[in-house]
Amino acid sequence: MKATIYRSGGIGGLRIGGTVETDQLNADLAARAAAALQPGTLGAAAAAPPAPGSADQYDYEVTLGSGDTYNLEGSGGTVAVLDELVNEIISRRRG
Amino acid sequence: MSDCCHIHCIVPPHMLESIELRGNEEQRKFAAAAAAVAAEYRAERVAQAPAGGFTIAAVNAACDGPKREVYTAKNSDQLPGDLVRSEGDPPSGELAVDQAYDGAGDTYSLYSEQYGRDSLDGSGLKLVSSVHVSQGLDNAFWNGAQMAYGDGGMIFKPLTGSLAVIGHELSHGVVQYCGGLVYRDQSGALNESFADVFGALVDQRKAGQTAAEASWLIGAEILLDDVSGDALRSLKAPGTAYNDDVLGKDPQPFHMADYANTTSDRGGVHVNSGVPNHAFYLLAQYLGGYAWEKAGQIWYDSMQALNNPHATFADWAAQTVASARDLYGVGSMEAIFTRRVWRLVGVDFN
Ligand SMILES: [Zn+2]
Repeated sequence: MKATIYRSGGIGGLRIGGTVETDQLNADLAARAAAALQPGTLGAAAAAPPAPGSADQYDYEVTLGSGDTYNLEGSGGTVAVLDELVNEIISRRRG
Repeated sequence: MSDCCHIHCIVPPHMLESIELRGNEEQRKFAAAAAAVAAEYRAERVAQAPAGGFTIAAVNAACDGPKREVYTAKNSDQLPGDLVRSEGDPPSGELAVDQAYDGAGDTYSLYSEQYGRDSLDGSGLKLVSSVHVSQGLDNAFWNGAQMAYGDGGMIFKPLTGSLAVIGHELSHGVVQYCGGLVYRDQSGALNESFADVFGALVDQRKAGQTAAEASWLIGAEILLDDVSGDALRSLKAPGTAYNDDVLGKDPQPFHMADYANTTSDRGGVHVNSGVPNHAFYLLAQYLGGYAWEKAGQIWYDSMQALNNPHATFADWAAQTVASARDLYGVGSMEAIFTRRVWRLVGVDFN
């Protein structure tokens, strides 16, 4: 499956991301990505933003193959997988 | 119109945001319930907010010294994790733990010794830090109750390596306990800027540097060697901190002419903070000497007096001029220069 993920904010304030295809990932990450990149999982993660007063946590913008876009804030298991995917994108660009 | 309660419907969203940020527990629950008409997740946010609500801290209170606790999250997302070092403990020997402990102490010292503020809330709040948060986390954040530091990975070295970053995160707590600034658009950029300014001041004070001697960089120590750049941000020259193949170019403006209208990063809170950051830098240069003294005092008093979670740059600029006049007199050079620096960065106000 294919998804476009952009991460912005964080103390660095960087907007960074791109498109990932799960069949190009190692099996372990591909399995976690497939579970995270589901409408229900993303919807639940989007429902748990950080507390008022918090700062420097990441924002994520995820667009699935269907064209549906999810905006997520805060932390937790799903966004940890999104972080791994963004890191994978950065790693590939760094070559 | 739906059958929702009228009082819920007539309270505009910006007021609900203020109540959520600043109300007591009961008020926050009301705000959450009201906002839930439009967005069901608000109750979750209230449940995560610190107990007791947000209060404006007392100034010039007796300061009894910091109460620090540093935990390791053991590369998980569970905060705070396991306690490693408490106040008065000797160094742990673990670099990130000791950097978080020392940096929290340096930040406490600036606020207490210079501004008479006893910790983030003015009442001796415990300073809780977690290190080794998550895996490969290129970030540090304030979650409304504590600091969290990642080990870095793709972009950064361990985030505790920068004292300005530590001062930055703790200063978000000061903003919160000064009544808060909603973390979006201009108020969010002011929140970010205050954190950058006081992060830089913690760093400069520790190093004993004057405004002229300081680098005015945030996070200079933590960029990985293969990233092309000097730091995360520059208050001296916003927009020049990095220029990297993967990260792109530092997008910060130093003047309102280049203000970024964007939806990412909550309306560019880390981008447009360049404008008030540069205003502070200019003021510190005009006033000379140590930036945490006169310029820092004006900015600190302004945050203490602002009382506007939705403040715009113009609101903040007006407050800084009012605070400069209160501190140094209406016709003082300090007040005149404060007014001038806002004009130089293109912020118009009455
Ligand atoms: Zn910040």
